[in-house]
Amino acid sequence: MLKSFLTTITDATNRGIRAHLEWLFRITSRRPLLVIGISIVLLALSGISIATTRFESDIFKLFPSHQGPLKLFLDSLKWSGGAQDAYFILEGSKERLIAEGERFAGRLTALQVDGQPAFRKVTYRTFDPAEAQSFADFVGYAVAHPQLFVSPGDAGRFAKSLTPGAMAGSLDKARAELTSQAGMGLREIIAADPFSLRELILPRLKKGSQALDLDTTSPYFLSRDGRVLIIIAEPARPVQDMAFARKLVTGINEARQGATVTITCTGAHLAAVLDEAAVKGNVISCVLSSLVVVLLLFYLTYRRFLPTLLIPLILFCGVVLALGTAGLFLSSISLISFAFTALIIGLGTDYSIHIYDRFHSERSAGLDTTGALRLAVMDTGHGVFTAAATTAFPFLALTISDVRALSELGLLVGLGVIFSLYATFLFLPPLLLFSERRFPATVYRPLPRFGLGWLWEMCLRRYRAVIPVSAALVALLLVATFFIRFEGDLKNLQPRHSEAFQAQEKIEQHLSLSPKQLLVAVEGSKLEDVMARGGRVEKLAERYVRGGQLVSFSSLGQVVNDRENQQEVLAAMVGPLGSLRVAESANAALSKAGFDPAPFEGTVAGLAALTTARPVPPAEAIERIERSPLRGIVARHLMRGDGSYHLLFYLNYRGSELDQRLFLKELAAADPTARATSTDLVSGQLAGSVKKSFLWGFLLGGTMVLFLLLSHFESLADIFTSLFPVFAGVIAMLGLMALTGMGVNFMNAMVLVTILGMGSDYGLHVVHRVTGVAAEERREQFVQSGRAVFLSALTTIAGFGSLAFTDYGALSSIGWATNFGIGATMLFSLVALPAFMEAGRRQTAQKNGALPQ
Amino acid sequence: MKKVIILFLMLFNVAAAPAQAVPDKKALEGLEVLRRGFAELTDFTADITQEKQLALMKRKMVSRGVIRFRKPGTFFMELFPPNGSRLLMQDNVLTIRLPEQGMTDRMVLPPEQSLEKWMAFLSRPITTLPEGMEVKGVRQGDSWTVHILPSGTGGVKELQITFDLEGRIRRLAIEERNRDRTVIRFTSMRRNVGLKEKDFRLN
Repeated sequence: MLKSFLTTITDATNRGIRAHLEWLFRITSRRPLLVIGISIVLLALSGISIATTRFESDIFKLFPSHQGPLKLFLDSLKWSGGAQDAYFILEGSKERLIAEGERFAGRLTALQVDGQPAFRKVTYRTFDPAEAQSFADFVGYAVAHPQLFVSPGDAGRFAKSLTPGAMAGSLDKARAELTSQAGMGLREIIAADPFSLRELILPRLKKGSQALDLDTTSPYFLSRDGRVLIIIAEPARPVQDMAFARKLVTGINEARQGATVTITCTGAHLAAVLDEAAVKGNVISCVLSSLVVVLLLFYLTYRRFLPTLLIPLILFCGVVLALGTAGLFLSSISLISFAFTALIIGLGTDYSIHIYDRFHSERSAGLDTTGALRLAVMDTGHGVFTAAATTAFPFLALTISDVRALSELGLLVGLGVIFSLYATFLFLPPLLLFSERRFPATVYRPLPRFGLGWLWEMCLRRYRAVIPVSAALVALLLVATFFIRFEGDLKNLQPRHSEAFQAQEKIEQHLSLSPKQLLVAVEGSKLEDVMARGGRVEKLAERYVRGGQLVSFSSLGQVVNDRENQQEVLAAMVGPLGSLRVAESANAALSKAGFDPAPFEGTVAGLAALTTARPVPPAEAIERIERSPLRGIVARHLMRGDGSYHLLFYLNYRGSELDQRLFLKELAAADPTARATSTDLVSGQLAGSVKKSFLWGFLLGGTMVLFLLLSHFESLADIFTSLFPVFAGVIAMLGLMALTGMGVNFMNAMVLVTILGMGSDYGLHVVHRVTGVAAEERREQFVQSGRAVFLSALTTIAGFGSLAFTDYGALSSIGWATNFGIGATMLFSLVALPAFMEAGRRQTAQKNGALPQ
Repeated sequence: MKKVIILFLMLFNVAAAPAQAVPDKKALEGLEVLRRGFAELTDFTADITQEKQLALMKRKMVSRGVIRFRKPGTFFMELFPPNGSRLLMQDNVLTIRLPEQGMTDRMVLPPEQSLEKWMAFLSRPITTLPEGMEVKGVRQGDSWTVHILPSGTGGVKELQITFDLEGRIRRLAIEERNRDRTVIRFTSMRRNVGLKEKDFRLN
């Protein structure tokens, strides 16, 4: 039943393919001008489609970001504007750094793009002297509202600071400060807080404002080792304005000319322009180098000028038609996806190789032009058609992935393969006919055999040894695959030598508070409610810090007490303060220390009222902080957007000591709506998406390949034989990756799927040509198909191999993985496959009694 | 904070800043005397008496102390108890210590406020008056008084510096817009005495 069903399918498919190839042969040999005309029209339409397609370089847009940790990560960048800012990292000697920083900041402030300031704001100092009064005003408010700003643990100390003895000591200090040369700057603050109560408030605020590990004694964003200074600037226009971004980078490059310290920069605008340049440079050099190698390989093998020249045209058609068609489905295409061009060069050339190789071989064997071409198109073309389909469909299967990096690349490569195939079928036959008419005296010499005849003989003779050696090698590499690791860090996929990437590394190296950070967001429409829920997260984080799982954390709750903590502070203070008679004691202490009580009346009244104080809405404290130079604390921890408040917690941790799974569970218990993100969580989310895509792609692509092979071959033994090289190749690829220290990442994981399509071609071609012919022809058929497979593998490696040397980690990992896979598949196709076929032939012969047992 | 230091620096700034259209001859002459005085020394030390009249205090605060300076950019000022303090400025790093309270505070100033920067300007003769302030010079016998009145809304209303014909400072007065006033009198000034590192210790 199944066999008859399969036979029906196989017959129908083969008949369909043959009819289609017949039609292609007819139309290209009889009406070549019509074919060329229609092709030009299609290319023009594709050009229009490409011109209206937007190309972007944002790596995060390649991954699903509508939910989970990546969404919160991108949201937080959007809320804070951090995604838009430009960061400048100055490195050099301490002596030169500050002066150069001042100069460079001045140049950035003066920088113009199209006659307008290039930056809205350039920040390079932590404190602006012009804000001294607003700072003093805040201190005055804070000391009169300790319930808001003093930690519950310090409430007792605060009350003690208002005892007569403590007040006298504080006033002595205030007098010494006023007398000293620091006095003028401190006068407003002393007037607001004569009893130095700020010492219980400001350290807490300072800690809360610390986003980077900076030298706190410097007014600049200076690293503790004094070797790195950071300047933050807000570009005037959004990153999507690439024309502006390019001009901005030009202006920045001019501004840093002649600097005596090293200045590197990063940020969305800069990364977009620099990465765009890096990717373009990488892809262009890859495309050109692989094209040169591919053409050289083709020419050196076949020694034919016109067919060699046709290959770039075929590839051009494949790329342009693929991009044009993809442009109809996609609103934008990532620059990384342009790497597909290199893949098309590797894959698209294969079809020309197989068809031309057959044509040349038949001509050199004495067949006439039409007969040779018919065999090439109709017979070899059948294998090529199936092979292209087995390559294209697994790639196209990736379009179901919600990981845009995979779906986009899958669509482009799948379409590119199909269009390259049709470009080969449509252009190669007319060109060969034209060439024969133009140069009728052309002699077709036998083609180089690359030692494949000897290899065939050797494998047949020693098939008993080749099979177990191959099996042992596969088993060995299979063991190695169990040691392969997963690389989840997105950083490894970026261009390693790009300036934007290296600048980010420097910030992490010199200025980060801890190796890793977890961001938690508590959200809601009512601030009071958000703060109250944030209090529970606060307690959870404190417990983790005490347990040593977190290094530290920062939050608004560390600076501003919620209602519950305020009540705790007031409860701890009311008793001691009630017996102190603060106003009388303060005025007496001030008079005794030589101060005029009049300027301190407001402060003293505020302190006297503490005995009857009540909790204050946190919104009031937040509004006060925002009016002070400490507004950065609120800007960092409380975001407003989409009609909600987003209270953010930054949890610093070193690595594995934080059990993130347990923390997230406890976080969900503390506040079920709280969200969390970190590089680890984002990597986990992406890994999950990639795994899902990979699984579906593998199943779908594998099913399609299997169906195509089933419809192509008539026996299961042939299918197994043609599939062995690719399965062995996949195992070898993973094993070699493990042995060379490479890991599977988000990008090269797709090679596992695509290698199925690409690698299955090799076995298919060899089995297709060798089986079904007379025994004496098998050797020659193997040499012909093996040569085409060998050249195809080399051209694919030339295409992908060039990626292996790019600076883009994402592309490089794809290049290496594919090279391992294709190289191994080719070797198994040319060495193990003849041995398997020989073993199969002998077994069949034995069954039929043709060979002795 | 550190405004007295900055005012000292303003003196140097006077010598270094860009020009006004019509220079006051007396002011130029007086500033050039002061500049030469600084240009010729490698270090100096002086006893000081500081009087501060602050709006926050009922009475004038009088302190005695010592001031030391060494090229290229080390400045030290100590006020003796009561209300003792020690201040050290090395180029643009300012450290202040209150010995009785056991407190030390350190900060890095912007480079335009570094001592070395301003000392570098002292090698050039003053031919023009600075922008952003009004400068007047008055000579009475063997002493000069230069009045510097910064424009704008900054805290300092007027700075008066009195010095002898060799550029030795005798008196420095700072009047602020809130009427606070500081007067520092210099006595026993000795120049080029070969001050050592130990003379600039905070502890």
